[in-house]
Amino acid sequence: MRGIWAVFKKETGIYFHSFIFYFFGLVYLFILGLIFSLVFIVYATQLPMRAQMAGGNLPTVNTYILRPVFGDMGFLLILFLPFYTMRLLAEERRHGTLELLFTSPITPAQVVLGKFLASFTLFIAITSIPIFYCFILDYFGDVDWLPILSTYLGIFLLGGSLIALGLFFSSITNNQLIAAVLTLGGYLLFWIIGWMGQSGATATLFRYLSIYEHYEPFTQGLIDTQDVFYYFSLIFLWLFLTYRSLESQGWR
Amino acid sequence: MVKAKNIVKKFGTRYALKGISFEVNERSVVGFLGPNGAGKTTTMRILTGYLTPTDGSAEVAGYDVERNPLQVKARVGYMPESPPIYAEMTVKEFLAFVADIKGIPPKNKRASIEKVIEETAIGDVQNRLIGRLSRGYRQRVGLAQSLIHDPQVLILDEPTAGLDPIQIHEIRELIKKLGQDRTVLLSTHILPEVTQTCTRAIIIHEGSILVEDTLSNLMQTLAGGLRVRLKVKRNPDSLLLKIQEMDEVRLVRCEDDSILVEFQRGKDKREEIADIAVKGNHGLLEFSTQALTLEEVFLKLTTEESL
Repeated sequence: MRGIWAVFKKETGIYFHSFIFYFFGLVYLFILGLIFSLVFIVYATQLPMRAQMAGGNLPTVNTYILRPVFGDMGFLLILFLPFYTMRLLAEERRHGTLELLFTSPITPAQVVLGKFLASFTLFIAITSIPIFYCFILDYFGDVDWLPILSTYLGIFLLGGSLIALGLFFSSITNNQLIAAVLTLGGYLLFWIIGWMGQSGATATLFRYLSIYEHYEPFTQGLIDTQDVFYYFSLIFLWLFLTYRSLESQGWR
Repeated sequence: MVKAKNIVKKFGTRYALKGISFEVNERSVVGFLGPNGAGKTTTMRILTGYLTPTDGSAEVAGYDVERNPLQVKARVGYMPESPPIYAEMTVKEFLAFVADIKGIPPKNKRASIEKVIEETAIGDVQNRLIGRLSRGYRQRVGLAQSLIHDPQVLILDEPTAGLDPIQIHEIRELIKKLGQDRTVLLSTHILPEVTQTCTRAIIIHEGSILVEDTLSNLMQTLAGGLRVRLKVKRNPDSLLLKIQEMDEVRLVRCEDDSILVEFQRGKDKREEIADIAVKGNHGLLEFSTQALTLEEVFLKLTTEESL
């Protein structure tokens, strides 16, 4: 536990010192804010027409604003997270600090968990900022909070598994850019794999593997244990592979 | 304190170490000497638990490196050739992190940090970002991190690489001081480093140990015999002939304006030579014993091996 905490503290400190963290954090939030504003404006201008079409019932902000915004949030993560995770281990390898970690009385598992938890915690902090959109909408309209909470659970699980995958690719190279490109490739593969195959067992398998297919139900307010299990398995798998990759360091 | 038993390390098909064995006792400074690519860093990385040997075993502070890596790591301080530092941290933040991962209890952390800051004389830069420090200060910070948990064994890979002469002198003095109460194993390809800081030397070349001994024994054994240099005022040529006629003299030659004499191994004819010079009225100006320099020993060993 001591080792995990030490790595966690160091890692969060380094994130706060790094330019790339602020840059991508701000760009991510800016783009998301832009999407929210556009969707909100379209919703507001079409409101009378939609209300008329729906026979006097106002379309909910959940369906017309928050679901599209949070759906895009998932895809935006795929574009931004590779740059967030690329330095985690590649930089340590490049600067020789991995040698410091591995000649200290801490285990590779503690290094992996410390790093994962640090980047996951900061990820939660950044992705929680857009919850203010919901407060703004709640002030003017009626927000159904349960789907919002389930969406956030989905985002955290999705983010956790993407960070774990990024951590793995960062462990196999000392070049941050290569780590980022490999991570992006991995994300896209897991995102679009569900589109492969039309029907039958292969299509079902591809859909099961797709990271998007498991994220979608959360945005609709559905929490399925299968989806939760899927993300936990992915997190475990990538963290385990990262651990093995670091452990094999001694044999290289 | 440090025992290496027949360590073999292969990288792919290339042998970096071909079965090396040596021992280092407590409270000594031992120099690990060899040309670049000899296997010094690989040996040190195995002793610190960073690399796993292909064959053989190593023991540090009574613990097997492979079976009890955490016990070994808690007792070893290691400074790699390029100091492992986080450029975006201040010196103090970095040392606090190292104290945490080395397992120093929170109540002793502050005192440990202050102690190494003082020992390595980095007090005036303790609040500066490491990325903005000069090479010399970074090297000191690297040394400070290796000392923070007061290790029984200190392993330093090329500790003075890239430093200016004043910094080199300071670091060497510090290493000598550190060796008074712990075991220090340092690698270098700079020979004066060994003569100035170490009591023993292990000479490694192409993954094998060529020789291991105290510095004085090493130079005596390999020198072939005692050497003297003498300078006279009158008739050096006739003195040279007289010395050549002596038994047990292996080599006599003129070098600049002096005569260099080398005796057969284990023989000492200094008194007789001094007698000849004085009685022959040659006007003896200088008479000194010459040791074979470590450079000569090193060149002799590594050149013979590669021939």
